[in-house]
Amino acid sequence: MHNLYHEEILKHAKSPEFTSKIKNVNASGHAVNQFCGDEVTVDLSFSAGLINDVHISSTGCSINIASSSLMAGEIKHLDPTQASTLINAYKSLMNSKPFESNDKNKIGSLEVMESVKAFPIRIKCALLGTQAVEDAISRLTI
Amino acid sequence: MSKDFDVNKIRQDFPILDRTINGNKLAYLDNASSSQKPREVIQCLVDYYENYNSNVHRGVHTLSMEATDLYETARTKVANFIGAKEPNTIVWTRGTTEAINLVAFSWGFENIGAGDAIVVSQMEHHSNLVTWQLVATRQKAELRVVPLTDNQTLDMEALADSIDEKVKLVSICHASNSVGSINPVKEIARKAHAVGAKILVDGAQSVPHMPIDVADLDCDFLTFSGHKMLAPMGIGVLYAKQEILESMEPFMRGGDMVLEVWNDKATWNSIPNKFEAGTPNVADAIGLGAAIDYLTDIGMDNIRAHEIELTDYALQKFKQFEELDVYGPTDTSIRGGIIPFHSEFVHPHDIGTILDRSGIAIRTGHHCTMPLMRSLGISATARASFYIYNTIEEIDRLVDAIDHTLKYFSTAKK
Repeated sequence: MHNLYHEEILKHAKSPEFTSKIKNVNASGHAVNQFCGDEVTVDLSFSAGLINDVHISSTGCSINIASSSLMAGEIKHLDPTQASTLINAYKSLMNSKPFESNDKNKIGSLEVMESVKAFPIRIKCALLGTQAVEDAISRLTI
Repeated sequence: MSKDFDVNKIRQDFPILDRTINGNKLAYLDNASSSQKPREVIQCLVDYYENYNSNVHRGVHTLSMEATDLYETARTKVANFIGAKEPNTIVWTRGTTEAINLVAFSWGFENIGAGDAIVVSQMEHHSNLVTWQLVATRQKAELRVVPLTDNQTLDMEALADSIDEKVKLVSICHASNSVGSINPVKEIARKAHAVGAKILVDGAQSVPHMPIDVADLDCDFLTFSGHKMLAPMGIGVLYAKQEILESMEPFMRGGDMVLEVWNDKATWNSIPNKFEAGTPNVADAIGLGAAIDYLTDIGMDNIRAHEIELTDYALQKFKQFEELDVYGPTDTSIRGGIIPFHSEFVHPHDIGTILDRSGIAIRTGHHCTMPLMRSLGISATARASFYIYNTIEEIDRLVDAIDHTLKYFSTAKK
């Protein structure tokens, strides 16, 4: 089980970060896993073109909650293009080849999610937060 | 339970139970979702395709006549199995979902109109809810959802209040796939008939597990799926009273459902063929007949008694988990072999994944009952569900694995 539930995943599942409501929300996104009903809602606040604050609320399994929490930390201080690049890199790594050392630089702390790849049915849990962030960015009006 | 009921002997008939999953012996506890198949059923399919395969009805060659005979014999087996007097009241469908849709489209749109009401319950599978949402919306009828009591049984007072002269149909599951409650459908049928309404009984979770007699229940429609009762996937049944089937328009148009066809019009074949357009699923219908032979041989009373024993044992064992909420009635005389549970601390998906590492197959999620989950204030449960081949030892393994999971998450997170 330690293979799947990396210590960092369990830590973020128990105490997810970026769960406090934020002010000046510029974009909100939402994603639902139709198989299990798990949900993620995200609010983004921008300043000078950068994401300066994130609120992410996930209900569901530990993989979903931990990946959402880590994702929030990674996109903070990025501009929407940089956030999309990071998200695409993460999605591509989760869906295809094994991680290589230089890939890990692209996704930062999300590298711990690599352990989920050995459990293909759970990969969608690791990508639900990503979908919510993508949804928020797509609704961005500023 | 009869002394002849020997679970170890039954297990030998199911080749898949010999499989190991992640290095452990398979404990298959996902039967409410789909059952495993005995060798008799698998061999029946092989036998059909090797010796009889041909299209049914109208063929004058030997194979077609033999295939037709096997196919229609299976229909008679289904009729006998559920106490239907006439085989022509048995309509083949792909499963319960298609059977409910058939009733909705053929009977519902003709007989439910503006200002009428349809009654369902809070424990319906999406197939018996979303279908009636469509009929209610399109026909400007009212959809009434009967709530549940604190232990997830049907609130019979609320049911009685909801059945009035406006109601044209009560469509309700016999047993819940999600919380296990068994509904008093005979009593509900009486209430429905008293106001001139029809009753559809969704038997997907009851027909595989207990004796069913449609004459005794006096239900107007009964729907169920073969794959949950040892038969192949892709075959299911709609039973309806003969006079109702006679009055209904076809669901789908095509070959075999017609009597005579002109360029601009057609007349319909007699029941049940009127509802079976196109080449039917012959092999799987015959497979369902073989499954019914197998179940009948064991005895539906014995099967029910075995599942009650397993469920009583599991409910007792689950009492050790103070941190788990277990849903459904504790009285197994009104409960099927379904144990849904939820922990505030470990998500059902995490439980399901860890149990799978031990070779234990359970289902996790909303079980196609999202409104029920919402009414319980949760998004998902983990669900173990039993059938004829499950054992006390498998429940012990389940309980040990849950114990391990809960401990793992409580210590790992500190």
